[in-house]
Amino acid sequence: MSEPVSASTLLDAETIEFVTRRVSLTVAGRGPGNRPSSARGCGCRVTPDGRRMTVFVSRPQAAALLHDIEAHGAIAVAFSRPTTHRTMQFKGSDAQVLPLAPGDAQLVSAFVGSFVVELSPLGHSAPFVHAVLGARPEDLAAIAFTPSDGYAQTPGPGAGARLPGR
Amino acid sequence: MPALAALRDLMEGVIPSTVATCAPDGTPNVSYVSQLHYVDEAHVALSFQFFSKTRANILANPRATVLALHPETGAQYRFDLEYLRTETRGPLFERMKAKLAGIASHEGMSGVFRLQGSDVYRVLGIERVPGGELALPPRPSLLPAVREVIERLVRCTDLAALLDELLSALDTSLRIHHAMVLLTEGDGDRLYTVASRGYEHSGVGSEIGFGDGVIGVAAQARTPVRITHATVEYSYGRAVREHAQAHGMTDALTPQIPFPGLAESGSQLAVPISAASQLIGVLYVESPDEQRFRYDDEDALVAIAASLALAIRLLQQGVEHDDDTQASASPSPSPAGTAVTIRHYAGHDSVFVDDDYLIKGVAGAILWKLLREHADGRRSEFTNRELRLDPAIRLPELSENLEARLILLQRRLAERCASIRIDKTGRGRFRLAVTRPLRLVEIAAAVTPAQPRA
Repeated sequence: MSEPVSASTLLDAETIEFVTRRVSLTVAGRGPGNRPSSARGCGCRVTPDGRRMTVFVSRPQAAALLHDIEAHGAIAVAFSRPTTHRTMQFKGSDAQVLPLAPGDAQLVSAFVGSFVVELSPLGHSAPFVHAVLGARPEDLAAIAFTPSDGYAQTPGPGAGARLPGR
Repeated sequence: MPALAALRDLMEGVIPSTVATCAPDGTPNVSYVSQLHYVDEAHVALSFQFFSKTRANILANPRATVLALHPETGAQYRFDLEYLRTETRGPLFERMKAKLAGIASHEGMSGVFRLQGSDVYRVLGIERVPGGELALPPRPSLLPAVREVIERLVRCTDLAALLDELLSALDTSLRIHHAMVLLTEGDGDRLYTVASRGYEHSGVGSEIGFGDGVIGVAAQARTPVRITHATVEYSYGRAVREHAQAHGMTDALTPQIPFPGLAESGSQLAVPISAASQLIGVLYVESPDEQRFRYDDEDALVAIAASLALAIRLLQQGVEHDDDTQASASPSPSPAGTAVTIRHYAGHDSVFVDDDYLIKGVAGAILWKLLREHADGRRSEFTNRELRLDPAIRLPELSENLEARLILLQRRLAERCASIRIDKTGRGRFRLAVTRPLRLVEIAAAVTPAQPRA
């Protein structure tokens, strides 16, 4: 019998660093009749052991998605860093919509700031990034889930490969 | 639902879109897609580049949701889609393939992004996602400029003036400073440049094979091809070189006239010129700036190319009617000075002035006939009609534009040979002016490599 792993091998420290700043993120859920729903995310935090991921969305932008997640718990989130094209996707089946924890609004604000820095060399201004991601704190919702599968999606021959994990 | 055409700027591929799908067991999937492409008011297409979960999902469950961002305003739209089919060749595929090559080059992903197919979706709904939006600088309508260009075209009474007027009007009214018109060769697998503007060398007479670069692909697929970030894959240096190698035309007897395109092109747009379902040529414009030509510019050029095509066909018919005029046989004055040697290689009708390549093909055959008759009988006045009837010139039957060959010949002479000139003297009539003695040397076909006539 092998020892139970103490931390997720799906999300090591480097991957946690990758998903929590300077990335574009899109969250998808499953609606009635297996119709997909989706919304852009504006931040992410992961527990240090990598076992629990929380992404933030704007409620007005994500009404259908939030409804679907509350109904089914199925979730997929893709993260992509614009300057390098490095892309990963994580999926889970136990997603829940939660109220914001203390510090979450500041975390989202810092995330948006990091994305401004990321997009600046690509010619996109700070007002542009704020137009896309600038949700009011009272409009934010948190979606938390246990990542059960991960996939490499960086364009190229390895795209779609399942990440080693559990 | 917003009109899809009004959202075409979202579909320029500047910012990747995301597509969400669901597997039959309900597991959602989301991935990035390089291209969301406008097809028509009811359809869009997504680039299919890799076999992926998205692909597996849409084949089993055709519903998809795409999130797209306006690259300038940041406005976000959600497209509710239903997958219909995948196209792996034809106009849509070629348009997307060229555009993807440009996007790949821009993103440093050349060789990684490769279009496997165009996935066509029905648009079930479009939603403006609530959120911020930057104001766009006002962009004036292109219609007044298109009208100005077309009004100038309809006033033209001969082909040479029509082509010059077109390029001048594009420059002044649409601020398109680098443009050229290429016409099809009779046999229909090549194009030759007949007029250009905005280049150091006119490149008149240079050739492009069907399928080569933006222009060749537009001709082959009969569809406008637009690249917002120029790419090596569609560059002309490479296309011309590869075509020459593929066709074994690197021999000294058929030197290539250099293609006039910009060395550092940022944006390119090639629009087929056709009338009555027949391809006449390609109108090509380019700019050193990236993202210079948008969907609206493509619309404008397509409208202009349609007027151009009709004008070319009408002028051609007019010339046929006026061709009946008999050429007068007035002798021309005797030229003076040192003799110029004109060599004609019968194999593919290439003509050299002293040691410099001038022209080949139909235009070469025309020049040789004119020079021979001029030498035999000191004739200098000719008609289009006699050229058309001369079996030695062997004009290809279909869609042959003799007038265009004469313009090509006239311009090559003006650029390359100071002692021979062609002057129009009326509709369907022209004069050959020779200012120095000529020594005509015919070199038999056996001397040249066997090659089909261009």
